Amino acid sequence: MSIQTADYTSKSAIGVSRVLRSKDGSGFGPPARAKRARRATLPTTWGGWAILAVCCLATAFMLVPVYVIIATALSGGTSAPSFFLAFPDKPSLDAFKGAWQQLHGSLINSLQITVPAATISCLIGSLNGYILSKFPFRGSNALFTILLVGMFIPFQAVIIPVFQFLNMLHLQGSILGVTIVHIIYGIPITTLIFRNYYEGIPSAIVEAAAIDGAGIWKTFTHVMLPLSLPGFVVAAIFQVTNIWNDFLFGFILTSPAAWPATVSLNNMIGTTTVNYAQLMAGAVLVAAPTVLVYLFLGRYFVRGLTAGSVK
Amino acid sequence: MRSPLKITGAAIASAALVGSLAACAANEQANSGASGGKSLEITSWWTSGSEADALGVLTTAVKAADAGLSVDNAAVSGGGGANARQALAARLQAGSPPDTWQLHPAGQLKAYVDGGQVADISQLWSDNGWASKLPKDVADAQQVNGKYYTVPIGVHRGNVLWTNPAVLSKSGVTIDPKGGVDSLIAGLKKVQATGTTAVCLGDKDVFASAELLESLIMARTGADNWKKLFTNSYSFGAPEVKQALNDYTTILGLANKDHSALTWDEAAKNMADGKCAVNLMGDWAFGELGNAGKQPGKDFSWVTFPGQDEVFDYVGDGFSIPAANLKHPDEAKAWLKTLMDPKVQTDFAAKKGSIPARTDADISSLSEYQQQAATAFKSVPVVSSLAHGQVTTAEFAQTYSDAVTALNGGGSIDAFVSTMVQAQSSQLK
Amino acid sequence: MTAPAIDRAWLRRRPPVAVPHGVKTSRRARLIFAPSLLVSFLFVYVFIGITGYISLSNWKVGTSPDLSLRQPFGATYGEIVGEQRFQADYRNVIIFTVVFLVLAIVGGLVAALFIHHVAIGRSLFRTVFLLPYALSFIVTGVVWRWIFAPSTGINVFLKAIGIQNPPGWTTDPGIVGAINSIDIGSPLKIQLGIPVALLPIIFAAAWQLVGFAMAMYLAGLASIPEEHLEAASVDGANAWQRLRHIVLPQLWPSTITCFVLLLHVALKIFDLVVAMSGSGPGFVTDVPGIYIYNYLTSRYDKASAMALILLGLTLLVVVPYLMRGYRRERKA
Repeated sequence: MSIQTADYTSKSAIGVSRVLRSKDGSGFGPPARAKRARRATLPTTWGGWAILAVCCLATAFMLVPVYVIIATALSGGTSAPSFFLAFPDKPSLDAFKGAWQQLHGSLINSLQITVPAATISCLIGSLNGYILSKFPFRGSNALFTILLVGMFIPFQAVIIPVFQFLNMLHLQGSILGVTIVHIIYGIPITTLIFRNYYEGIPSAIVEAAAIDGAGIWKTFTHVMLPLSLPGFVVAAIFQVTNIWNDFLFGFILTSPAAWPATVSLNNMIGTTTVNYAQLMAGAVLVAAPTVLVYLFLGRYFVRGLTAGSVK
Repeated sequence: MRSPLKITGAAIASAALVGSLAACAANEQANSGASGGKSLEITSWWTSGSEADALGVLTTAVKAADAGLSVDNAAVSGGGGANARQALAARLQAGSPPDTWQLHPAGQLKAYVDGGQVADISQLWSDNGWASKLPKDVADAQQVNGKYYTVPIGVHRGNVLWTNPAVLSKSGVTIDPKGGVDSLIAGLKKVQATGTTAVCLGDKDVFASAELLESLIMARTGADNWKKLFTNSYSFGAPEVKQALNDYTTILGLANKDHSALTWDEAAKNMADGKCAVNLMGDWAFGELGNAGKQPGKDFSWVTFPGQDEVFDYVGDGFSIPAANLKHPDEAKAWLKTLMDPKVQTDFAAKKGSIPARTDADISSLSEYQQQAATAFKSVPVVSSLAHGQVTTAEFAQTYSDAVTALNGGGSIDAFVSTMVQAQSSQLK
Repeated sequence: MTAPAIDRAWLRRRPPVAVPHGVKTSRRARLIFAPSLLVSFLFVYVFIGITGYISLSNWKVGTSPDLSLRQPFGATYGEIVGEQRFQADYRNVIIFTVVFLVLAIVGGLVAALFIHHVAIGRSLFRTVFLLPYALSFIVTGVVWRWIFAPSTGINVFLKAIGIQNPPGWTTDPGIVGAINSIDIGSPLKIQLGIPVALLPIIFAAAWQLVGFAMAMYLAGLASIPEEHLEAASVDGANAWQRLRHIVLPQLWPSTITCFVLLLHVALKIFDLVVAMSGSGPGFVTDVPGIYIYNYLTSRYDKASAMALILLGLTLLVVVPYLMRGYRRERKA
């Protein structure tokens, strides 16, 4: 799963500037105005009730697959239940044990790939974003556009050279190799997010630092970075989700010992008798980290999706 | 200033740090684990119940011979082995191959030989005198240009028709292995007329239908012409092949409609459960049905796929070792020797449904089916499978499986023939 | 109400301008940006160039790089374009993209409008709709494959309500609304229409990404000034008129962004199809991503040619979008 937002007109710093204005740092949420205008109240009109009813129905519908995953995972049996909505008579966690046994190694691999790749690509992105927003040079916009193309290419179009390249460095098949690839292909999106974010930070702050004699580096480390936490949260959530959920790179660039969790999960489907309970339990395990990130940091996640993408 | 955001941020930052450190530590551990100690990494596509058990026999044996050896089973599922071969190709090219990998001999082996990726083990063969212990067909398949590259663990037969005795007798149908394809189809139609699905098919991975079609082609052309198809001295446009294609579309019409959603083993089990009368599958199905607790003779029975002359569609299981970057040469050689132990071959066959490659392996303990297969292997013409990429190149096998996929979607027989004829002239030189 | 007022005032200001700096700083800025650009240049442009070269070469298998150019020039492209599989792949990916975009964008818009107007449980609805977005396509595929399993999935429902012959979903080789029949010898080797088997996959993809579209629209809706709507109400505009003349035009930018981003996901779809169905009977669910993957073991040249055609299709949409952003930037 990978989606990236692209829009880097300066007007698009709406979300980010709002973040900066709200001193309590909660600016990533919906605008205060909207919050205040609407209290959580029951509808007063028939139309209101109808809307609420539709929302509830649609929500229930959206949750069906989630229910299916959990119900099947809890069934504990080795064969598929006869009907996809059947809830197990005797729920058991056995399937999770089996799935954990099969997946724990690759879950650790995924962690080893995701954490450094997300961290480093965010750092690079923040540096680039800082330069592009505060010290644009002649042609910087054109170069930035050129950089951004990398965000959209189908990775199949580069996979053979990437493979050969890693091969040359003796990194093909390793965790390090796939991590590097994720970092590199993560640079455009993180640069975009940070560029939009920093455009919302008044240049006066940077100017003041310059007057105090701070250079371009010192201004970044001492002035910008401390202000960057919201930007990092957005970019990190984005990168963590994309990298954790990656399949193609993991599939082609890693050997079994370095497989990320998505590839191992797919391997559980296989040619062979599918143990549905275990498979679904595996799906829960693989999905858990990103879902948890999303549940706890959901507001920032939404902001991450939309920051800079609404013109 | 202690805003929730800052706390979250700090938490993420520290988690990232801890994660990275843990990652480094784990990496180091993994590396030391690989370099120190005796270990052996095995790649295969044996992931189903019976296959995994059979592989277990081999790993147990090699561990028993070498105490302290740790075996790393890197089995890759899916695609009838295609995913495993993909993963293996990547690793071979990257210069970090497993210590040994599973493969079909002959055509599939040739690609590895051409790529210089597989080790010449002729010395090992002559030291142990293996060639004299094997049927000529098997020994030949392990060689390319007179050199040995593979060790055969077992011999599978691809063209077996598994039958459900209860369903057949209810419809009053008997299938005569010598009766030819026409009488088979007539029988299947009779079953269909009683309201029971005649044929169980599970071709989520297309090899299952590719194998059905290849059994039909062999049945119509006979062993010699089948072999000539791959030297381009007999055409896929021959009337016998077209007849087989007609048979194929007829049989597809008698199969369960959801065949492309099922795997081969699900289809085999459906047959044993009485959901249909017959299922064509290689005799790994025998192992898988046994693994699922089905009784041979009672829940299911078998006949050789009916044809003009009896043919043995050979699908070999073997292991090779890499030519370069072999991490554990001693363990890998010990592994190959273990595979050639007659006792190990018998135990392996008991789980897998195949017959031992060695002629001196004791098969008296094996099932009735396997004893029959062993007799047939000695007495009937042996040909290699196209569906499993054994008879010729991977490219030709891919063309064939694409053409079968097209046929399954209602593609025309003429289109199939013209694709294959063209591939014969352009790919088989 | 002071804080929001300041907020809006801030928004109306001109966008922030660059820090004035000297030549030395400017050079340093270039230096800092240069590594990213170089790496990107290598991994994107050079690598695409290499793939392009491979597609024109004789390099069939990875093990024996034959880098001579294949004669006649571009023969590999000619070869694959004539294949039934190639044609099916592009029919599928185009159908997939169109239907999926309509479902996800319309669904997301409707969801956003409803959720924006509901007074209670908003954050719950929003969370649930966006939840699938956090999943990987593999997980989504695994679940939906199970839901659409012909004999145990939703067909049980369909049979219960009296539909005797429900579709076989991902196993169904049928083409709905086929506009041609296959003529032997014609260069077109497929039926043009909507493959039934593709529908469950489209549905699964829409389920996963409708929340993304919704989030985009919710952000768009939040940025529509309430005063505009209030003023329109005062002028007597009904709900539909307000939607038609005020809300939808203001959401147009969100639509463009959704369109481009989802389109690019749809064109390179791979993992979802792998997990749900694979190629399908007669390639009814095959997509370029799977084609490329399959040929990575036997034909590098074919895989590369296919990848470049896919890239071309993607760039056809993405480049105008990026250029549009670039031009705006220049004007600002």
